[in-house]
Amino acid sequence: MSLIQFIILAAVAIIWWRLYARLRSGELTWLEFVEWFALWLGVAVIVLVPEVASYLAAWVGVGRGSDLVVYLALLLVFYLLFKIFIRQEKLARQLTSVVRGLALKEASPPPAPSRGSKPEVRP
Amino acid sequence: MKVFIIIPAYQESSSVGAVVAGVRSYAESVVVVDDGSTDGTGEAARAAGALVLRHMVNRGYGAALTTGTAYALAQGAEAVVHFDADGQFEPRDIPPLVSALSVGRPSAALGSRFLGRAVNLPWLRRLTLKLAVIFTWAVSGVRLSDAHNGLRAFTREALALMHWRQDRMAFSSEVIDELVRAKIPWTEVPVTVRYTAYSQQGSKQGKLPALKIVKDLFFGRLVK
Ligand SMILES: Nc1nc2c(ncn2[C@@H]2O[C@H](COP(=O)(O)OP(=O)(O)OP(=O)(O)O)[C@@H](O)[C@H]2O)c(=O)[nH]1
Ligand SMILES: [Mg+2]
Repeated sequence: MSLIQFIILAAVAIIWWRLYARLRSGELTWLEFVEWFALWLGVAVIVLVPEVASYLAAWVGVGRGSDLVVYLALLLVFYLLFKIFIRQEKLARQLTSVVRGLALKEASPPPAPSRGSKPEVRP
Repeated sequence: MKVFIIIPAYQESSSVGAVVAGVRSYAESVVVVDDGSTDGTGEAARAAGALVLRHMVNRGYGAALTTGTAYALAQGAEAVVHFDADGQFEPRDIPPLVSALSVGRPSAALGSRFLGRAVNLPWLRRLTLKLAVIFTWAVSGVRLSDAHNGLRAFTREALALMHWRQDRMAFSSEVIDELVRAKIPWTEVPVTVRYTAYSQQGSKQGKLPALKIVKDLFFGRLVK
């Protein structure tokens, strides 16, 4: 086994262990755990048997196995970036609703409305 | 009619006082939403007679208008007017805007600087505003003469049907989308918008605000 194979496999082992810890603590659902585990299993297989990548590359019509690996890795990074964007948008909205709640709570209200029943306040 | 004017303000201490004083006579109540300003915007607005709501940290133009509008509804407003804090609008454009509303029914009135007057409008701003008109036509399916004008009015009944989520400048596009979705009738009303050295100095929207709006609209759709 070459040094690079050893390093990558060690990294995969650590990632698996972290994934398991996050599954135990409830941060990951079972489905998420299986997805991530399978992804890194794929990495481990390709590191151990690089011919697999070449074979797959030929099968989908990409020149070299290592090219295929780079393409897939790039796709994965874009996907993760996209997920982070969405998560941060969600967080921003939650922050806004907290800030809004405080602003409305601290408003010194002038005399209450004379008519109408319960006033509606949108979130 | 019980009219509330909502003024979103971020770092506008030098203009917000005069704006509040200028619009006070047109409404039952003037609400300034001080959006985390650090220059005394809130104090200046209060001194001029506005009720001030304060966002502890900056959440953006749309977030501030949504907060102010929620407050107005809770206070029993029958109509809500949105008005900028930078002094570019004319207070006397408010009565025609409010008269254009159908009282007691869902209805909106949208200010248009291209039906009215755009004084000293820089060519680059004219270009982006015209692109916004085309964008709104293409994406929202609505032909407006001025798609990103911050002077607008709604009846209470219209506000009850709309759901606003955009925190920043994309809010102006979202308002149009929501009018369409909720099938709220609207009319455009000519207004005057003045471009001055003050209104032009140091853009708060950062570089390429139009691109940011498109990005916000895109990601906004993906988050419920
Ligand atoms: N609450 C809040 N208000 C903001 C923020 N940025 C701008 N505003 C307010 O929104 C109004 C319009 O902002 P402008 O920067 O003039 O944007 P605009 O009117 O679309 O652009 P121009 O046509 O160039 O004037 C002003 O009253 C500003 O004080 C913000 O981050 N938070
Ligand atoms: Mg302006």
